[in-house]
Amino acid sequence: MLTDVELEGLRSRYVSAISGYQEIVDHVVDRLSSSVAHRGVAPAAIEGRVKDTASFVKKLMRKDYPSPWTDLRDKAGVRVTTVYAPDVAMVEEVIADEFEVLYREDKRASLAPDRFDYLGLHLEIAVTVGDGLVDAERVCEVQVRTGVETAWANACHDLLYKAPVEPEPEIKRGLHRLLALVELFDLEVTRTREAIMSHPTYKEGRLLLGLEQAFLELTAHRSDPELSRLVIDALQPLMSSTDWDEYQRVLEIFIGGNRDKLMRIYDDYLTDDRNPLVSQPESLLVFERIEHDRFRLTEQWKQVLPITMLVQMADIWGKPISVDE
Amino acid sequence: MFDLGRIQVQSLIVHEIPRHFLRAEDATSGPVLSDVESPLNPTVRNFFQERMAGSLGRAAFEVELDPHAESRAPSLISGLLADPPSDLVAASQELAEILYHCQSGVSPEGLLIVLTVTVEGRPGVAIFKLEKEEGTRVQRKKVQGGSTFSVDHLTDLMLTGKTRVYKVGLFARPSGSDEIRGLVCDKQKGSDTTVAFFFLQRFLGCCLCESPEITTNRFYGVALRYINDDIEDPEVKARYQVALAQELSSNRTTVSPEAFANTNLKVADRSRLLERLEEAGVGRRSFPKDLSIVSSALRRIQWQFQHGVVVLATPEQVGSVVQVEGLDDGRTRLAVTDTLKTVQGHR
Repeated sequence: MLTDVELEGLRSRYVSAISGYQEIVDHVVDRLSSSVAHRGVAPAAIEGRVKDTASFVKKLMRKDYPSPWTDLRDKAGVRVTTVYAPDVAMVEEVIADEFEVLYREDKRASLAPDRFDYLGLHLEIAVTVGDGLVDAERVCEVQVRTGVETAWANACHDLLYKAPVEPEPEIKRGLHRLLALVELFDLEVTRTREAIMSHPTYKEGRLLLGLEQAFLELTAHRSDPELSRLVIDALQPLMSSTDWDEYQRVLEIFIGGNRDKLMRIYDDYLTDDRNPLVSQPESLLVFERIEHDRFRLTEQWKQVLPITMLVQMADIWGKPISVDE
Repeated sequence: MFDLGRIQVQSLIVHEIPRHFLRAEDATSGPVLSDVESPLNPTVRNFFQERMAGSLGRAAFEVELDPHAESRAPSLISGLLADPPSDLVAASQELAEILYHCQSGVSPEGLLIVLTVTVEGRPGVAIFKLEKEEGTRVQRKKVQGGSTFSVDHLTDLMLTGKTRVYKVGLFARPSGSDEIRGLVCDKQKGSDTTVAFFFLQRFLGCCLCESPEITTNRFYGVALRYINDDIEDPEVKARYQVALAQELSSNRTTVSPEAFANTNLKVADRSRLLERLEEAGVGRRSFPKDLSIVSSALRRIQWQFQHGVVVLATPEQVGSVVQVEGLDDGRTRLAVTDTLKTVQGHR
């Protein structure tokens, strides 16, 4: 057990080191925010914290660490909260790609089948930043769990493990019973999501949502959803082998590089309704394909849609296409 | 040179150019000139922007103002692109007079339209020369208490969706350049012609930026390199080589890289050829054909094999006398079926 003098020494040392741990937290949050998004995962949140001094001291008092300074590993902590349970594994892959993983604990794997308890993935990673800290101190704990797991932990973890009085077994059991609902919630959401994503029209629907989002940032044209479905359905064979997340990046780059031109076109055609396609979100897809894949676009278009419409779109974009006259 | 999707029409003026008969008794009094600019609404503006992009993007030649031209058009164009620009009405009226006087009686009556534009935000001038067209208009009406469609015959249409005969030029300074450059197109249905001499040189006072024999040679070199380096299947390679030779040997007076790719290449191969041509500065637009440099290379196609065998054939013989086949192991089989004439030693 630590003496008061030893505790005070550790406390002072920690206060001096806090800025270095804050640097670690900021670094890990930044790296993960961009890497996770780049992988196509949309986490609910990526948050970090440096353990506050009072919690640091309390933990030292509570736990009997052989080497208190090095054994207390969660001075810097980051939590990644995912929307869907399968994303936990994807986030772990990202973390393993970005950092050296020193320690891994998956609460799911260690739980007996007939038990319900806190679930979550805990990792400890090595980092290369942290002013004033030595290499052995440059570590960060990363927790990865779903939103509902976080909700349970936020509500119940402290009640179970940090309450001023020890809860009665029956009360503890009630809180653990909730974990069955947590597992059911994640399982049902995952199952439902997979069912929706395997629907034949899911990909087209997702593509249209993305196009609408981008389109309305450039113009306030009202569009015809039926025409959108018709055009996207007709062009779907062009996109069948393309991953939506990958195409979304292609589209973002295209829009970013041509924003002024697109906004000018939409503005010019605000009151010109000769070609209904110009005032539709799928015009972004058409313009992008005219720019990057005009021949396949033309071949596919000719099979299902009036070619005059595409000819005019290509003229508007400034990259006319040649068709047999 | 220009992003044709970034043309914006600012103003336009129209003058009528009657037929110019050279005999005094047939002579007309000259162009019918406008005194003020024409009203412009978004639909008309967009329409002209589309027609310019559509024509110039498909079949225009890159031109420059000829400092030695007899025509005053280059100085009028330069004036319209100056800062501050010269007056559009006066400059366009003078252009109309120039056009009228450089036409002969065979040129039909038509219209001259001069537009001030911006091209990628920079000042530009566009010039259309076109003919009036006839058509019918149908409108729903009440006649004698009943609904019907009235049919009116119109003779003052221009630049309709089916218009095939018109000339257009666009002039501006490309990004990063002080020189005025232009794109000029002479779109004529049913003929494959270079820009009519009188429109490009006598009227506009322009000349082509690059001599046709150099452009033709560059196109041939880039296309041949693409076929040899990027096409792996020997049968496809042979087919493309024949198509290239036939394209250049045809009686067409212009080459359209885009049309060539569209007609002769598989879909997956078209974009890459055009990218190579763009990278080499040849571009995808039509250019006048001149075989002065490449003619000797077109007479025969040569296959040279790893162990020294060489086969020569004309493009017409490929597929008949000479059969090309790609083997699974990457080698190529060439079969020549013909009556043997001679066998002799060759160093």
